Amino acid sequence: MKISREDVLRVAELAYLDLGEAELEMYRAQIDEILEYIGKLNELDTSKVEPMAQVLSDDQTADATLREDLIVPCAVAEDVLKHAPDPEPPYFRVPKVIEIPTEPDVGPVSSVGSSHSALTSGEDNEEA
Amino acid sequence: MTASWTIDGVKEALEAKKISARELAADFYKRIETRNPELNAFLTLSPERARRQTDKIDALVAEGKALPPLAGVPVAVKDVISTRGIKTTCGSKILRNYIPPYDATAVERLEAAGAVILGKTNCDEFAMGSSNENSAYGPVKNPLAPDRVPGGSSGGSAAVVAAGLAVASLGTDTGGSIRQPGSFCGIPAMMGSYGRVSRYGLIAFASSLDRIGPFATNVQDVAAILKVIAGRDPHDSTSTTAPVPDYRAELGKPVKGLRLGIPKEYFGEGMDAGVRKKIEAGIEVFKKLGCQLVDIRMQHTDYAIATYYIIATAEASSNLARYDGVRYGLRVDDDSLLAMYRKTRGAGFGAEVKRRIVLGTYVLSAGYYDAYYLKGQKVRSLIAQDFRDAFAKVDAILTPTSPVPPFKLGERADDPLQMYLADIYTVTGSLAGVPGISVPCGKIGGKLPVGLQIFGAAFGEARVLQLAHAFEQAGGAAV
Repeated sequence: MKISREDVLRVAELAYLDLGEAELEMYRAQIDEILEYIGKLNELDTSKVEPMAQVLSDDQTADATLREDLIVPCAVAEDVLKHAPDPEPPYFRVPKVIEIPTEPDVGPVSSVGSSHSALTSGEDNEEA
Repeated sequence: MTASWTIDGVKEALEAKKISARELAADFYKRIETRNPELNAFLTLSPERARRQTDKIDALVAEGKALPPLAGVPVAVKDVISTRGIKTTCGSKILRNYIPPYDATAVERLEAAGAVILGKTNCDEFAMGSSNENSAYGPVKNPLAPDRVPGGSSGGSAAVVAAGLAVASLGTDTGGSIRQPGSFCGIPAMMGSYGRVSRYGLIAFASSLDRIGPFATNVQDVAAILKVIAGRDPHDSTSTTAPVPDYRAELGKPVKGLRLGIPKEYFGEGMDAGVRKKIEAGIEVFKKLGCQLVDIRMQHTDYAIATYYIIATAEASSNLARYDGVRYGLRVDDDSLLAMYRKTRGAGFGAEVKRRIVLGTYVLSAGYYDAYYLKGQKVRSLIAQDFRDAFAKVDAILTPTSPVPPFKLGERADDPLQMYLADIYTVTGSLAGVPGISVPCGKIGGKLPVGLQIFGAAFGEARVLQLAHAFEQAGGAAV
């Protein structure tokens, strides 16, 4: 067994996913099987191989990833708030934060919790 | 039997004033009304937007002005691609009422070229699946065999073209989601190289793998659509600056003498006997066209599924972190913010999506990152190198698109790993970033479509299309 019920619970917490008991066991069993299969990558010696972190090389996207530092109009707040679940322009209204996440930084995903506050401005340049 | 429209056919009919753009769109909406309830291929129709466009086109015709390349052509768009003002659900409950405030670049370009957007097509939730059975809005039926799947994740986009409910459509491909449904529905379907078409407005599943690409009834139309949507976009820093050839104009170039690689690893066990027979017949067609067949090895093929399901799920776990009930989509209320996140995501995501988020989070988590994600990225380098090595020897690579013909609805739904293993021939090219097309290559028993896949070198779409076109013209679809 590669993954335990506790592993799935821990990961579900990191990913802010509410899972029922039946779901928990179903995913545990299925992911266990998948991880078993994925283990075959250990057959390969990759000690001298670079990870493929990018698909395209610099010259394939050259000169084009940077632009002039000019301010352009970006009046999207009204459009964006129009279909929000609970807008109070210019804000998104959300329940207040009662609990503080107890897990310190354990990996990329956990930072989701700490970047939100009770009132989040609609003008933010967060990724939509 | 309804007539089968092509891009050229539409242009001729409009210019000859045999039909107006408005009448053509109305004709397609009538067909949709008749057949879509059974197929469940369209999720949302956009008649108002279509009308605004047909009015524009009809005005151009009336004024005797030159028509743009896709004038009046009725198209459909997969529901993971943003369309301003038109509901975009990604096949998920969590976006059941999401209306994007902007168009994807690919959509913008289609419309600027005169295409008429009829509506949004059904797909596996967040593009995760190989059968369109993971949609929160019900499965899509294969128009050629309604007890079978159309393939996935772009099942709806493939089905609408195969059923004559759109002349062309846009789908997306992350591990095979354009090519495989094209194969299952008996139509040509292409993904360009990673970076060929802008991903701006494509609701992300796996950012280093996702691509937008066309379905059509013939290769020439696929080429025409790709030409329109491809090209550098300042909104997508991963879109290439390489110029876009006139793919249609390049189609007629002779293929005689081209070297075609047949990789041993794609022709082993695990391929259905009926599929094998059709693919072998398809390879014969290339021989008759004067192409040179070359045996090649692509030694890391067997590791591609494992690699893909580490990288794609890891990227998905990150990309889907944004669905939290704050800014758009479903919100399940609670007294506390974090409980709202958990309940919203628990209620809004389907089983396959949750499974992949859990797996992806796991392989990225502390203590496991090196063993899984980093390892996966290294094996990805090896797979990409397999392709580069092959293209030093050959001009293109021929493989089956899918090891199996379209399976029955429900047949693979209970075994996720079995479902994943069906992607074996397509994920390799996804990981390597190369372009690939699936072209119709016969029907088993005269009924179940088989697809032949052609891979090209990075940004070698023109060559891939030339070969696909030559194959089609030589009767490849009827082997």
